[in-house]
Amino acid sequence: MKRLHSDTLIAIALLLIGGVMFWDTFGFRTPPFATVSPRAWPRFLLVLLFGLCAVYLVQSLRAAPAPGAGGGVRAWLSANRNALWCYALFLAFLLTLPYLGILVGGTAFVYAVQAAIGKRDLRSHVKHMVIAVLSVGLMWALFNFALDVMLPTGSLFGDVI
Amino acid sequence: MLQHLGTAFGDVFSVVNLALMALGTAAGLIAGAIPGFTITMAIVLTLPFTFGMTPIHGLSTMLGVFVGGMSGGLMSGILMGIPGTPSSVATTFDGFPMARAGRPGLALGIGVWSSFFGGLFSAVVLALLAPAVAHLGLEFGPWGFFSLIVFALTIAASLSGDNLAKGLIAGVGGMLLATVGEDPINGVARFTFGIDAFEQGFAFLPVLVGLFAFSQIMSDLRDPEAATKVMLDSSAKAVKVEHLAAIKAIFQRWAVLLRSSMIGTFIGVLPAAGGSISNILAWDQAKKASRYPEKFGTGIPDGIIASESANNATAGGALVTMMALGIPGDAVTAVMLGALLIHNIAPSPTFISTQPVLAYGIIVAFFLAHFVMVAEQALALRLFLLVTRVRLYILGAVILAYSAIGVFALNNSVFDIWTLFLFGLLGYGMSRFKFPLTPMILGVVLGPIAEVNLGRALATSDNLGLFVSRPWSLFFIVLAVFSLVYPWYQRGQYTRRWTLLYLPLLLIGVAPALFMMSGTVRPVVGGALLLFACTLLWRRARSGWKLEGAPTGQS
Repeated sequence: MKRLHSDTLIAIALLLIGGVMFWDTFGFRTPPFATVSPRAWPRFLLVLLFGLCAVYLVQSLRAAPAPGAGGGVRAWLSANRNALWCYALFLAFLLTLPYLGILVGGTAFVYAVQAAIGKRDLRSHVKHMVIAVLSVGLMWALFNFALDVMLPTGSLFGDVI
Repeated sequence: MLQHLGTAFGDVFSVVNLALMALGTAAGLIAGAIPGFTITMAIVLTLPFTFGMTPIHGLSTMLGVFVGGMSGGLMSGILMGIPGTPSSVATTFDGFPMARAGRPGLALGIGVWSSFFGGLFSAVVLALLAPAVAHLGLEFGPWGFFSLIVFALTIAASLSGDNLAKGLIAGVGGMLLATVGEDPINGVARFTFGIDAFEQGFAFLPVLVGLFAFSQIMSDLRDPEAATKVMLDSSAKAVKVEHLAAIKAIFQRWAVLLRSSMIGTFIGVLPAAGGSISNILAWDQAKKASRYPEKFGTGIPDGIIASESANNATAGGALVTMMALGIPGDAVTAVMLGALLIHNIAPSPTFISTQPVLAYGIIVAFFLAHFVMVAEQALALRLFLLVTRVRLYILGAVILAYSAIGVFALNNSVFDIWTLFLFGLLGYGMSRFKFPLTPMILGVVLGPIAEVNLGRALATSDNLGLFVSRPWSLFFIVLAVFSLVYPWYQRGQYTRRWTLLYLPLLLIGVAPALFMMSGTVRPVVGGALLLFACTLLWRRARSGWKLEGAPTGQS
């Protein structure tokens, strides 16, 4: 079976997302005496989106795949390794934020990103840790004391920091 | 006006404000110089620092970053042959060859002073034109504003990439994302899918940082080799900028400077068109008008003057549209608009008349930022050489952490960091699959404004014919239609005969709207455009609808 163009998959995904959103518009409350329904504008945009995605879908079905396209999941993972590491670590940072807070969680995040995509000898690890502590510490101090922003401290370190 | 300017001078020339502007300009110069870091990213990352500042301090800082960023791109463009920002692409055409020929100091000097004069030109235009455009904006009504937004989005889509459909999908997608949360007219919750956090919608700053900064860093870090390398090797030394020789060279070519500044200012005024277009257009026009076009691309001053004066002039033009109409002239002014909204200031046609001190403060700050930029260029060059010795992955990790802290500072909300993450993913996916980001961010900013104006228009009358019978609305609808066709026109300009009809039909299309407007001047302009269109058609018919040859490409 001929491999589907990535643009085709995206067009289909956008059409599905648009369909879900259109279905959701039926659940919007309509206030009494409203001159313009809250559904009107989103539906107008969704109809436009459907039309544009249909054009995009037809274009993608007609177009030949780009040279070098394909290659499977492994090739895709390898090509996007650094970005995936950054996103995964940021997600971990977000999930642990209620417990570790910005200072500890942020330091761990900066260190982990450098360790994941940078050099991995002992000297580099030490350098990465120093950079993480100094950079996040400086930012934390700047926002806390100079800009008076109360940054999350986390439940584990709430009394200490 | 003079009284307000005087008061504004007093506010802008305070010690604190000057210090903040100097910091912002230095940051912009360095950020603009680093390839892969855009001006939009630099301003977006500055925004969290401005929350605790007064509006004039915050805007002066961001204007410093803006002006610095526009000029910073020339440093890496001239020294490394890699433009620091898309606004300096054409600077490399002549700047890099001049540097390689042994005159890097002259090339940098010409770039810096061209930026300076181009920016000053547009600052004067801004001061004179913004109040006049604001006055015009009062005539638009909700129909005109809605059509103007449609025009802005179609231009953004048609200029943003090869595929118009992708640009329009990005724009409409942005407007759709802006509908999540409370409806601005009735206050009804939309697209919450049962998640309480969605009821407040997506805050502008995390969306912006996610789309422009987070995803950009991911794209820069994607290449494992580039991520672990330094940008410049340790043998690169600071260059002495040749100021006097540069100023002399620029004044000898005052026509190039003036023409390019005008092109830049005009491009800036157009909604959604920015420095990335103006520098190349100005370079191209300078080449066409030159007595020695074959020398362009070999390292002549004219090429650098054209590019750098145009890109800085674009900034002033973009500020005209933002301040006078509340419509961003490009992605950068979309951020400025967001900054003003965060400070509870909503630019609109009445902004200049109701908040004159702040409005003129922005103009004065923009003017002053160019002097600061020239003064800091040498320092910025040394700092740039230092920063380029830091490996990209270290810079990236620190900036990601800063982005998270910065967006949290907006509303003290962890949901904003989640928004940053989600839009960072979306922005990365969009750039991987060649969807332009600018139309999306304009959609997010302009979507609610479009909805409110459409609501007002329909509340006044449900007659949709008013969108074509109101003159300004018709004017912008015609422009929107032609901007949708523009990509095909551009592709077929030298090969398809129908393209000979594009400009005449555009002029014939806008003429009726001008005839419908009040007063004498605009109908006379409409008549002149109609006459010009007929002349063009007659001349082309007489020449047998012959196409002109394509220009020779840059070497």
